[in-house]
Amino acid sequence: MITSDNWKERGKFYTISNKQIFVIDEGEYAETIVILHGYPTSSYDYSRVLPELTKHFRVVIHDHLGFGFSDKPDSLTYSLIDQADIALQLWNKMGLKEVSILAHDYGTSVAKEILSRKNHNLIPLKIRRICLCNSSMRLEHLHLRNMGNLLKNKKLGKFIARLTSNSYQKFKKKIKSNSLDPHLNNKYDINNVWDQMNTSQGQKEIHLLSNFINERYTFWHRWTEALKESEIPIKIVWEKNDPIAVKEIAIVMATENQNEKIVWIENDKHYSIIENPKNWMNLVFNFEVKRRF
Amino acid sequence: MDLTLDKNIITAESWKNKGIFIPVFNKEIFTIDVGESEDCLVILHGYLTSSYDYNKVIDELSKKYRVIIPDLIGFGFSDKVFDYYFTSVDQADYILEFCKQLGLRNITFLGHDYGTAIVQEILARKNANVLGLQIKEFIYCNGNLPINHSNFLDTQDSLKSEVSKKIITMLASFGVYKKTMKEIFFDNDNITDEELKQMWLQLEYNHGRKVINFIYNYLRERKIFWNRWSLAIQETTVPIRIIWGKKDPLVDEIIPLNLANKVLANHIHWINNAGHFPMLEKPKEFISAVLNG
Repeated sequence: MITSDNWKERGKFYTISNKQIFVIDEGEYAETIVILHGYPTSSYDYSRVLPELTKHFRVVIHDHLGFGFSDKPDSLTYSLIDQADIALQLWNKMGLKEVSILAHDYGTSVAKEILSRKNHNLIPLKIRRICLCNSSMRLEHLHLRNMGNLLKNKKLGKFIARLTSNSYQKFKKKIKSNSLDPHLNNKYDINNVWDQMNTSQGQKEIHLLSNFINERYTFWHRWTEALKESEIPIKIVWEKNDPIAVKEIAIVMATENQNEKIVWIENDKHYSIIENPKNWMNLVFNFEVKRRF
Repeated sequence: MDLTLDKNIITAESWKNKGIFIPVFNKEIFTIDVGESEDCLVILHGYLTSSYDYNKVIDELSKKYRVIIPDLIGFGFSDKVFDYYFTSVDQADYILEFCKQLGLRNITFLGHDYGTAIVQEILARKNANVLGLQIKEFIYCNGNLPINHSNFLDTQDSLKSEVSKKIITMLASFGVYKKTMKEIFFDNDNITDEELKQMWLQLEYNHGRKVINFIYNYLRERKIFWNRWSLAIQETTVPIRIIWGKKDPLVDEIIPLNLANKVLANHIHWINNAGHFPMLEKPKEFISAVLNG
């Protein structure tokens, strides 16, 4: 198992707008995949699929500002729009000219903001394709359903964040009970995720970061429009029993003129990057039929 | 009463004839573009109104600048949007593409009211180096600052809906509109009924009244972006000048004072005896503030 420390040693830090951003950059191929991770975890989510991915691509994963090993400046709120700016600056600094984007949950909103800018001719970066995974991680459900709702509550939020730092046992139990795989805890080291949340006042920040739920309402039109108008091929991987994603998908499908660039894939067996990395890879990348995403 | 107001009033119709329509992405943007100078003054008008606010100052301003005033999407003679909430981030995208299409350089942005938010979004991107646009100066005129997240208590949510309700009431009829508008002038003799009628006609153009009430969302944006936008004006290398109608019932005097502290633009050009619309109420003073800053 990769420990949190091992993971940190494998990456390096870039200074973006005077902030330290943690980046994993592995793989020898010219074709580059950049990954935007979900909420409230970090690049570490991908530790299990990384060995597979690097057999085909150069893989660049950064921790969003306020997450993982990246800086968590005190008492600032970051909007998803800020996160898009940071990602664009980072990729530019790394000299990336053409990328494929893979995003999960929170990261899908950042990806959609980047797509909006691309549609509006505002960025020179070439985007080969985009893959949005609304949910293939049980952890995200847990957070959006429970933590997310609580943190979003202005009065409770700050207390909840503080409380959770004392209730690691509960956190662990919840993750276990919400997981389809009872052995999850053996496979995915919750301690590591927790350690990362605990650094640099992570728990304090998580309340402010959870403001993104408001942003999803505010930018709903902007981001669905971005999907509708996209000339870049998009693959959307979704799960039927995800209470949040399904509602979103229903609305998008109802309002959307069919864009033939968009492909929907149902993750009906609930493959996740942590629990079933290989199956998830095959589902998302279609390696079995020799067709990349 | 200011005698200049007795001269011929420019009608909405003749104002429309002075401008041209510029297609940006899929929308038509009504634009006033006068003057021969290499230095461009791009004016972003306030909420509810249009480029028409500048009809008394444009001739003088165009002696020094090439003056470009677009009607923002959803306002004046520009395209209105019916099934879409157009955020200030969208407005910024359109303005950037608009500037690119017109090949504008040496840009001085003048933002008034809602327009200041759009300039702040542009500056945020400038700071993040994700923008290839030359900006010479930013003139900040009677506009609110982003709402500080930590100061924004639950009680203020009701304020949000109150403001929203007020706007809806205001737009019920020309009579109410006229009365409400006059209240935000220092001296309500400084604006004639006839002028307000011309502004009302532009509001009504293309059923604009139906779509214009997005103040509720706009307040949410100011909250989401308080960090992004306040940092944008604090960290920018673009010089900022403040021009302020001193007796503005909508925006407290404390705003320009705070702003001046933050941006080290310690000079505020006060326009005495003017309310929220100094360019309409005290055109001569406004002109000299802009030209001789």
